[in-house]
Amino acid sequence: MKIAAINHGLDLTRSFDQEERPKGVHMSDLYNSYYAKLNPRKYGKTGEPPVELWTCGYLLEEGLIRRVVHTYGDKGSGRPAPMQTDNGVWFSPDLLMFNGTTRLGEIKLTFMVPGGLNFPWKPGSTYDSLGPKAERYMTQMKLGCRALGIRDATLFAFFVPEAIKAKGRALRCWEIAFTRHELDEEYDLIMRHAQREGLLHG
Amino acid sequence: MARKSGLAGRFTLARDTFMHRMIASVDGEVGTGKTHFGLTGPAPILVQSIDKGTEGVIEKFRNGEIASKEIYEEVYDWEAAGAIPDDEEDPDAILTLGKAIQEQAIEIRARWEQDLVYAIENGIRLVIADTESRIWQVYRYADFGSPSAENVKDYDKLNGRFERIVNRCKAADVNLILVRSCKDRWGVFNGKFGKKGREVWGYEHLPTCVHEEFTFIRRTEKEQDDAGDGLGEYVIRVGKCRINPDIQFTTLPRMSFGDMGLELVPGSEKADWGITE
Repeated sequence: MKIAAINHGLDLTRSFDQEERPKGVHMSDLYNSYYAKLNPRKYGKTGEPPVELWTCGYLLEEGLIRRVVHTYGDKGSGRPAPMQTDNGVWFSPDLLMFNGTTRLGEIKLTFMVPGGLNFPWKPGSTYDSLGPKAERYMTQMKLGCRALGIRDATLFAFFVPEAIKAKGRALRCWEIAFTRHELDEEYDLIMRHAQREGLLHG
Repeated sequence: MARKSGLAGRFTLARDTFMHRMIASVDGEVGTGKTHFGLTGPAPILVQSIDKGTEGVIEKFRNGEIASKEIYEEVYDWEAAGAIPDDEEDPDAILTLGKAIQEQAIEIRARWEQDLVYAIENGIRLVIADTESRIWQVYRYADFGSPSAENVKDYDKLNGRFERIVNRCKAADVNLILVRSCKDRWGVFNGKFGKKGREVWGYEHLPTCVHEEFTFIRRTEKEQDDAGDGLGEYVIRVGKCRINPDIQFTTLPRMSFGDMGLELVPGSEKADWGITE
């Protein structure tokens, strides 16, 4: 037997159906900067980004988006091209779904351990929070909804530690309805931070 | 000039500007101005009072001495502390008293939640929970009975229900001030069990739910000299501050709700915080 290691040559720096990241200020630059300032220990890590971990997320997105659209989406549902807010900030939701209600979809692959008040998931139950561990996900979705002028979102989160337990609780899904005030408040908060930090003219 | 539609005779015109608000925990020793701070906020105000600590504070904001505001005070009588006498040794009597306390806690919890929802749905601008420490105690008793009860304790359910107080306000355009008390800190120090210093008591995960944390402090002359900040006897230490991370972990002079708003959002005006007086 002869086994040769080869370079796979695949571009895994983004999802297969994702367009190239446009140049300019992105919403993620703004809320990542905010969270780094709010909680430097948790969110302020510097150094090389975990590109290979992101690859895992991209691969999940590719597979999940097709399945979700096939199962629930109406015509036009899918990953939209990057969009810009009125003040020129780029944002790229993983998914937009049209099926009665227009929904923003976010897909996350995470090594966080759900439990207690974090990421509660019992299908049929309703919650008014997904806990502190979900705060950055919520910010991202609120900003996306605010920019799109919608109030509904769906979060798909795949918890790797749960997959090891093999109890069918690794992929969790929540339909979230934000209030107008929640969206305005979050948008205001992040944009104020961005202006203070000089990020909007970068 | 645009013609008026006549709808204003029947409906209230929606606000066209976004208003800021606080979802804050305010802790500190008795007499440091925690409730007073809340009462300087926008009216109408609902004070959910369970700690008998508001006497002489609210009146000044009602009778014109400081302001003439629309303030409602809902008082909840909670007698858990000391309800079971230390010298009571009859287990049946202890059990009966324990059950009565739990029933009272369930009743207070229901009233507290109903009042809060009613207030939010009927235009309240600020809710003061006075105190969060005590209502957390009520929630615990309501779910678990007395602290020594040997039932299985589902803290996730309890915590979730308690956090709904905060989450209901977050979802609406309502300010929330959660006043927290201090108590002696008990533990083993230098090998001996006893009390040492003071600590804030209440729901331990509250800092993860609120947007701002304020500690109200009264300083001795020596403490003022040591600090050398010239801020005076009463100060506010800012903890977590989601709305403006720039002032996290700083110390500010004592100030009103409206002035704190200007610190939280530089460039805002008191009207943005609902303060019109």
